[in-house]
Amino acid sequence: MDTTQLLKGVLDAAVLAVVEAEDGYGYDVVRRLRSQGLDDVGDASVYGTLRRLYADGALTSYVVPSAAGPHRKYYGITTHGRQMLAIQRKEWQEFAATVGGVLGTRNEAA
Amino acid sequence: MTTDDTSTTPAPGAMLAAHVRGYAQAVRLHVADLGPEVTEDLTGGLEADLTEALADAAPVAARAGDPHDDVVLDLTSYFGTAEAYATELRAAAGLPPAGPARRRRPGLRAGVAAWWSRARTRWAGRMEPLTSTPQWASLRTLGRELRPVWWVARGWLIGALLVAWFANGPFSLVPTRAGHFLVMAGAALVSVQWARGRWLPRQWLPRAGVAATALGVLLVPFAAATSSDVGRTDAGHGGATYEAGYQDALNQLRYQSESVAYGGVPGDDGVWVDGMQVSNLFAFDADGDPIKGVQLYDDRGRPVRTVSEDATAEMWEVPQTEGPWYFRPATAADGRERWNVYPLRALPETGVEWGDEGMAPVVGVQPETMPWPFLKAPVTIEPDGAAPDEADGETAPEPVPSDDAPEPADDATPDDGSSQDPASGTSDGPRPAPTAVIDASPER
Repeated sequence: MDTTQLLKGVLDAAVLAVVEAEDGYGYDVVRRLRSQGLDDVGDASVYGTLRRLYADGALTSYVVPSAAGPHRKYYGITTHGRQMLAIQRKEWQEFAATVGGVLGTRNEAA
Repeated sequence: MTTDDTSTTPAPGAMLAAHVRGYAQAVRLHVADLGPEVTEDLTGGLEADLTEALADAAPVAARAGDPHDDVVLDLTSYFGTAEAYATELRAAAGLPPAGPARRRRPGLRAGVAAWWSRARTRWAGRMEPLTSTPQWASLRTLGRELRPVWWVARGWLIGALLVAWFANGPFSLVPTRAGHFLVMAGAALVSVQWARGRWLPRQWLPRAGVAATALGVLLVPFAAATSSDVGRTDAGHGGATYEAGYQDALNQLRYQSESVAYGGVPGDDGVWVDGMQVSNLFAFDADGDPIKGVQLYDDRGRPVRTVSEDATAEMWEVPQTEGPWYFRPATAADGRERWNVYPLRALPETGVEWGDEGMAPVVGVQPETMPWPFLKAPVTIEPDGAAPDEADGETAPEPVPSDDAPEPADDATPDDGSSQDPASGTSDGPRPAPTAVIDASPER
């Protein structure tokens, strides 16, 4: 199964969780998502998600100049973002448990 | 790891940085329709992200100065096309996809542009047998080399139009005054500078050039008209048509600009003194006293009119008054209008109204007398026809010997009579003038 389809539904929560752990710039978020196992995540998808979350007020943004090259745009989570993440986390866990309940037994049975 | 980026990212080479900038720019182009703010939000810091992603993907190749970095420099092989990248970016950001919705309903401008483009292509195809010849190519070269001449001519024509407009004179390519020459030369200079891309904000450049060219082309017939006028050569039918069109346009111009009728070229209709058109005439008798109701004829018996036949609705400025004014004719005993009876009276601008038949006085408003230049003429004439003390043709009327005149001038002065009874008048006596004249309106 194409995990990118699954990822779409939870990318917001995943990005929020990564940024909640520590502020990060675009590719840094991509790398941390990948390092945690979401290999199929697309760069542009993450950047777009960051932008949308920022527009929704879930993230703040600040630019850090870099001596070694172009500036970096860092994102940090807001209070609103934390609330969003809390809700999405809860929803996901419930959903995952439900889906796990539906799928898990058959997989074991098979 | 997340913040200490300099240690994880090797400094990219100049080539790589340039490729990254190019790719980022291409992505920006595909989201530019969202506006600069959203574009910045979406793609701000994109170069840094791309560079680092590349460094992760091919750390060796990303090193500065690596001669074998050609493979990774094709960024599309790693990130996909800029368009696809932008599409993904937009989708993830919850923004509408680019393109189709926008292109499906082209605006009027786009429609016109498309039509123009098609017409050009069709025309070019039809003309190809001609345009593909070497003669045409050399003609094109010649045309290109002659362009500066056209720039000057264009400016000169526009300058001449400005002069004709503001000085209210005829359109002439030959400046009659130093000021006119300055205006025309200045316009030519501006035209050349515009053509060279100077003296003009960049964004105006194409349109101003096109407008100047179009105006210049429109003025060419007028130029032809004046040149035939100046040369006084019978240019045949075409010239005559230009002349007529030019006169029409000139009248139109004068009429619309509502400006002073001074400053034209002597030789037009009307009466001219020292190159200035005369609006009104004031007669004084031999004693220097003003005479009203004077009928003026030239030596051929033609009525002397300051207001020409086709300009009776023209506005005039009158010295010592707040203008503008519409001059009104006197009315003869037979009811006809007489324009050669001086001084002319005039209606103020508020005293006329425009109907289907042109201008007409507002009901109840009578033309006013215009101020006399002098209460008494500065020169008196010896009654027996002896030589006047000084020749002052401008202020004193032609000193006509009274015994030669068919009728004494003082008899023709309805000075007091007309102010009392404007309708009947005093002009019942026998008179050599072709038409007996009375004042059309009461004084003051």
